[in-house]
Amino acid sequence: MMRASVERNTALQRADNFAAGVSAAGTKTIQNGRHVIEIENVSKSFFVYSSNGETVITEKKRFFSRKKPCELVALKDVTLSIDHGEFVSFLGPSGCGKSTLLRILAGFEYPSSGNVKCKGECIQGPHPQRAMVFQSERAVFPWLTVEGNISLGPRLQGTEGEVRKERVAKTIELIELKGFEKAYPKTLSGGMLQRVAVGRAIVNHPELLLMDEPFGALDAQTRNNLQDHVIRIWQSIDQSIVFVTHDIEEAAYLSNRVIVFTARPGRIREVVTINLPHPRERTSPEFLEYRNHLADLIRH
Amino acid sequence: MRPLFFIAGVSAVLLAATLLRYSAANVIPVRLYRALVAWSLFLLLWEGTLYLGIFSSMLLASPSVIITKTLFLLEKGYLQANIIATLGRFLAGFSIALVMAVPAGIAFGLFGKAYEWLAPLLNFIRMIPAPALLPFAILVFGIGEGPAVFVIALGSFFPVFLNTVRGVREAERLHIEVIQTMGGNGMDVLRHVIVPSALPTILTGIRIGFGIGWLVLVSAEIVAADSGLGFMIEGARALLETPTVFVGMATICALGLAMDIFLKKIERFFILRRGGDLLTSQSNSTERNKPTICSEGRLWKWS
Amino acid sequence: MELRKTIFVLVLLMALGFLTAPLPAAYGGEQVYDQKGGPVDTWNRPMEKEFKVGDVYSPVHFMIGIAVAILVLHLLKFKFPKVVPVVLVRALTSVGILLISWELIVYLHWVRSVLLPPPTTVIAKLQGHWAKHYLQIHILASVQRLFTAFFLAILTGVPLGFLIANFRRFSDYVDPLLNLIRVIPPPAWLPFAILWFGIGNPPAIYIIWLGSFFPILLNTIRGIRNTQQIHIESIVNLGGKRMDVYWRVMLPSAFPTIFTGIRIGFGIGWVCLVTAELVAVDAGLGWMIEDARNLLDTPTVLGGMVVICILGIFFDTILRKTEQSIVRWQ
Repeated sequence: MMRASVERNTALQRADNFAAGVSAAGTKTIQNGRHVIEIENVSKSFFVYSSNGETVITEKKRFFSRKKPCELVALKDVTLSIDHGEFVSFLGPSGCGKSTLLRILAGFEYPSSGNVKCKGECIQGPHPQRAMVFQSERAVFPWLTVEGNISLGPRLQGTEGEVRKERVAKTIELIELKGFEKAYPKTLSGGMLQRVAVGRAIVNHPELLLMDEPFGALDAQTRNNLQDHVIRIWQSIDQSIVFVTHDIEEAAYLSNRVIVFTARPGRIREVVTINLPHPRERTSPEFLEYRNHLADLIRH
Repeated sequence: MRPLFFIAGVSAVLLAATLLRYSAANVIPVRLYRALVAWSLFLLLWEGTLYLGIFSSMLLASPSVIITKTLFLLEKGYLQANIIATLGRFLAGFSIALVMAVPAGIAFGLFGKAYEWLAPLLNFIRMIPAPALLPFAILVFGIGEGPAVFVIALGSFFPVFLNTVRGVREAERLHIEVIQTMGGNGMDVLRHVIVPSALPTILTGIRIGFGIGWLVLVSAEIVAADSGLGFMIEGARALLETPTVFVGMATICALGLAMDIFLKKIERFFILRRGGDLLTSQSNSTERNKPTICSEGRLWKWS
Repeated sequence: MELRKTIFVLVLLMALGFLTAPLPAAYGGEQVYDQKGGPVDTWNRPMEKEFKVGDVYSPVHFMIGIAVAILVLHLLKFKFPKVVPVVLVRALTSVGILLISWELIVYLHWVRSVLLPPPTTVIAKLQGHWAKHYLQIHILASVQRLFTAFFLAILTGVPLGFLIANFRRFSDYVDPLLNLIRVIPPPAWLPFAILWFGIGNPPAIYIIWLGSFFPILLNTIRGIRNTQQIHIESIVNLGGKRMDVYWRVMLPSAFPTIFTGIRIGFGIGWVCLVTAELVAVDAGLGWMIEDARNLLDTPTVLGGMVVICILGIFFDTILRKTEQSIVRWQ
């Protein structure tokens, strides 16, 4: 029943999605029907073993254990597809499994059942084509300079010499950190560090950019700036972005499509398409309407 | 004890553990089982090579001989006498260090100006390894208790002193102000804020000081004493009594381990009572209590 | 970048250790080094007449000189507060006052100069040893021994720590045995080491190696186990393979902890060096002071202690500077 409604929703929205994408981004094209990611009936559960103060969370049941584990269902029957060039947000209360789904997309975790395909192939482990921006800015390597952090991706891909230099310089320009190339992360602010993390992710030209609540720990002012920043970056690159957040306004402000999750076990409650051009006005009535609609979905 | 008895006993323990492990896996945790395997294989190898005559028994004593020798020395009262001599000497030196270092540390921690003037000099003296003072101490005190106690006190003084100073200087300004607003005088501040908040740091210093003192004690006894475990092993070495050397080493090892565990317990007690984190006491067990995604304890799980 | 720098520094230090190895260490009476400076006995000890207080330097002039130097230093500090570092003024003042009071108590005959020779005598004695190359021989012997053992400790401790931290099964088997060896204080191995290797360099190197090995090992394990999961995930996400995780994440992130272990290990190794030299060798600074003690040559005992102390500070400073220059990112 749930699945059917989701299917119908996506089918209905596919038509006006195309128009929305083109009008929103100008040069940006969202290629409907060309799926980057297909998620089919994905479920994910963990097993929690606790004995005298020690808690261990495992993915598989332990073969030799007399204790019964407590099963924790993070995701249940999620079906979804993401088109090329789209900006999709996962929205939901904390603990609803949206981050787990993102980690499955990144390849750090595997679904307990169901299939995840990237361009028609099953996901087998992490791949630089699906770059991730982590929640915490601690993910930036503190022992490398800004330049070192960003050039690490191409270096690992075997890109050498002028090509790499040019690419890194372009990326630093894109994230507007020119002049900080030689700075170590300890000297940068949280917002700048997150921009380095974004730069590190986009320098390899990934198919898909996965962002796991990247601005959760920042203050409101910085967060608004970075949101505009992300939109600019999204418009200037050719790829799609999956953005996990629990902030309703952030989801409404950034994305073409918001996937709203229910609380645990996480299922898709509704898919909301936002037909507003970028840059969006936070105070316009249409925006507020979308925002209130999302808030209603989260609340009930 | 006969070597063959020993080999048979160790093999039996190993066999029993293996059988238990594979019949009912939960009775013996895997870490304990692996430790048992490592230990018994090591003992078997040690005993076996000596039994087969691969090493000369002049250079290496087998475990069974060591056990026999320990029992013999205990019976004669020789080992007990040396343990008492060593412990007495150590406690004398260590308590002199504590009695001097803790009050001095609190005083210098409170009067920061004095400490800043004295710090370079103290750092200079600190860099002299305590055993280097042994010849000088022998000249001053003569062979016997004097040099050993002096050197142990000096070796364990600096870690305790420096940690006390650090602990006192790191006391929260805010807590001191709270006591002052409640009408407390300087003595109250010392009693209710500075000493309690510096206590964990002081205890860490005491444990480090203990380690250094113990190391220095052994070297002092080897060089400059006429009793004690260090003297015993050095004397046995001179007489080529290899089993006694090993008995002495094992005793030193056991005593050091027991005292270290005791001090760690005290430290844990005080830190836990304050609700602080145990990271400062560097215990390994707390790291394992964090919930981990991969049960195998590996750092990451993709290959 | 960091890695290359680290390896460079380690190789440089190691080269220093091994380069000093072929230098003639003094092994007892086998070689007689300096005949020009005056007669030496079979152990290369300079044969000189007994020093009396005030033989070479006048105690009064010494005390006045240091007092004047302290005053000048304070005047300079007052005049140019920006140029003269306050730490230097404090250090020199406190050391100067110590020297004056040391000289004074002997000068006033409060203690016997046989037991506590004054600084002037110690300095004169050290000068004599230096001129006859006696001091250099022993410094070289000590440093060579120390460096050999210390680099052996780094070469064994860091890789073993890496294996223990990364491979659970390996660590389960090796840890119990290593813990057994760890709790025995290194000097307690001395009689055993002498029994096995005989008097000479090997037992000393073994003791020093043992002393500095465990701090290095334990800190390597701790550093690598504390590698942040998020950093590993990041590099895997950027396309890193297993070796990239080891070399580009674990090693740099554990480096500060490992280096702390290296510094602690150096300190303990330095203590063990002196202990081993008191007993198990026939050259080196520890041997020099123990030998002088036997001859009731107190100025050499104290002078040797001062030299040991200065060398310790010197090496510790070098290690600290190296650490600061490599771990700039922290």
